[in-house]
Amino acid sequence: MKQKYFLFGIILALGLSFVGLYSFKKLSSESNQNKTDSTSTDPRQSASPQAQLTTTLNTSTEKGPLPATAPSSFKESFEQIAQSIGTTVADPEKADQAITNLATKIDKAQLKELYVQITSPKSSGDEKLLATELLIRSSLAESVNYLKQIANQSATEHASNSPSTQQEFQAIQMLAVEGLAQKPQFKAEAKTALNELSQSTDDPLLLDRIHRTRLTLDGKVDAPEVQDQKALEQVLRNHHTR
Amino acid sequence: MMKSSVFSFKTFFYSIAISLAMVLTHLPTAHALPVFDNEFECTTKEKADQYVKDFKVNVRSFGGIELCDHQIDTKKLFNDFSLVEEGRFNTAASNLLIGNFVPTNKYYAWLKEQTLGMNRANDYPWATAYNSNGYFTMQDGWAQLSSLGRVGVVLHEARHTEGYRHIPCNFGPYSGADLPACDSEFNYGGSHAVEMEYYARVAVFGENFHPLYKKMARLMAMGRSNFVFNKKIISPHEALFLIRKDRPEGLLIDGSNLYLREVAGTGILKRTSFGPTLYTPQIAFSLDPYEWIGDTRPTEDSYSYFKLLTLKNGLPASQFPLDLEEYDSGNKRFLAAIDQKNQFGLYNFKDGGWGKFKSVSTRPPIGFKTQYQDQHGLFLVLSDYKLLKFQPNNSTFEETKFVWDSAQISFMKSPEGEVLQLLSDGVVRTIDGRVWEPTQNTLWNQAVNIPLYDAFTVH
Repeated sequence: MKQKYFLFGIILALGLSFVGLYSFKKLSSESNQNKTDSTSTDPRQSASPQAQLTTTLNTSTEKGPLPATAPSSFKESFEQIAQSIGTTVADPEKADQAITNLATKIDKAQLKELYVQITSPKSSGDEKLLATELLIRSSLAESVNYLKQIANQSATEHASNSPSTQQEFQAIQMLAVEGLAQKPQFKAEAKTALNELSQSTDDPLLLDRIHRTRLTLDGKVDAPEVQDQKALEQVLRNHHTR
Repeated sequence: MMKSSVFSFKTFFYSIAISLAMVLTHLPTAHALPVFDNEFECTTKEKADQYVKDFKVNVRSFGGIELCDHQIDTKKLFNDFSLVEEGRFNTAASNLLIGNFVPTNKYYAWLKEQTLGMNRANDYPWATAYNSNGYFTMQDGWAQLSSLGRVGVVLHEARHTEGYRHIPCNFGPYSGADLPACDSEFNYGGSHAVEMEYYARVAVFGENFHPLYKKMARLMAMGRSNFVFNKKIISPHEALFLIRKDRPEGLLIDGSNLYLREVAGTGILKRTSFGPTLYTPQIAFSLDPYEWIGDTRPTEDSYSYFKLLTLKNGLPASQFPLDLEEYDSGNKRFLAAIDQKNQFGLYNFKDGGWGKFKSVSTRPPIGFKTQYQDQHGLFLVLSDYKLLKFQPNNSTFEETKFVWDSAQISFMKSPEGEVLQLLSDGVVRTIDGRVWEPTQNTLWNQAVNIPLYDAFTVH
């Protein structure tokens, strides 16, 4: 009798375990299938930026060995922060610190990848914005030249035919120009970059930003951000009629 | 017997416990726990249902229901609604505002009221979105924008439901295109104003927005203010710079403030985008409008386009310009020159060099002016003092009725916008001949309006 109980217990234990394992595996595979279905219905979706970043990491147009693959944590952190831009945040200061923390980890190869991402029409606006901000906060000297190159692009060449995407790219360029004044350790290089930019662009809006940033570097005026805030607050105070 | 029974019971009990433990630890859940933080940003089913219902979203056209994947347009749209619904502003500060186009705390309710339906298509690829009697169709351009841009477009379209329409632009990148792309002014309160009001609020009063979302809002507000309103709302502020006749000293008139400034070097006083500069055919000297440095040595202008005089891609010595002038038209800058052969040429910024110089009149030009009485533009002064006006659309000149008085040095504007003139007698007068009071006790050699970049002027 006792043996029967013992055997019965063993069989029950094994049977229940198999049932549990089978159910887990079945439902897991169904969940993955649902995600695949939802992403495959719309042919209009642009290439995944993750795929693009991966592609960029794995190719090189330069001679010599391929650049080392970036640590996966950088990509993950980048995507995580990029996606959080489109959400409300409980702690904006913490969100800001996350960007600074990521910027400290950037190496030279990643700087170039960020530049490629900014100038790629396939990147989303939030990805371009984050990539530019990371270039600004990077402590590497090469970031100055990349910011200058961004500001020197033609918005109509690097954005789609949609005027809105061109205007957004112009905002990215304004940000890149401002960023040159946020690298005190590269003040001379930033001044040179701003002078060269002022000679090569015929866009008055960008030139205005260049001039304000140049004067900020010279310590003669407030930073453009400070001036903007004052102006926008004045707009909101002044204009109130329907 | 007893011991065996107990042993069997214990064995049975422990087997059940172990099997239950194994089962419980392998219980399948409806959704695996997120691995990355971003997966916590999934929209809940309840919220998605609410948004679909409130805005009558054609979910299929956006790519089907998608709660998590930010690549899918449906999820993007849900994020945008969430930003509108949950975005908060500093009400204590914003309550100081007298009025507004959309109440700060009513964006979601207002948007819901203006939206009869939302659809995704690409039937007008040159547009970002359009509103047809309250039914919005979001184009590919919308999907490529930043989160802020997408929200701005939705709010922009919503304002059209209330009957606000665009008109052709008379300024900026769309001027002359005859497209209804602008509003008359910010106070009209049209779609551009609602969009810019949102951006400004996020930038100035936003509380729980991501710092980069706020940064983008500031830049988009500043950038768009330049070209979507026919009457400018924000601009660099203008000042007046004069040089004394009796000594190398300048005067900056900025609003009601007067500042002495150094003048080192000689040449024709010119307005540049960097401030005042003294121009000669070989070299230009910049003057600092921002402070008195205490240095009388001339400073070569290495900031403005007048630097091109000394650059390798400048003109050869035999062709040093007789005159050089900067001129802005809309979103484009022109740099014009008259060479020693009295031919006119334009600088090609994209190519980094001068275009071909050519004659524009049988009467040789003697110089440029950028203001004639209250008219702004790029004027070519011919040898008989008649003026030709530059046409930026096709880079040509057309005849005008204007004749430059040889006793005239320049026309300017006072900080209040009154037209002034400086004659060769050294006196600054209004256009009707009255002596202008702020400068009446001094004789002046030259005068020009310049932009200052220490603040903006809000109109």
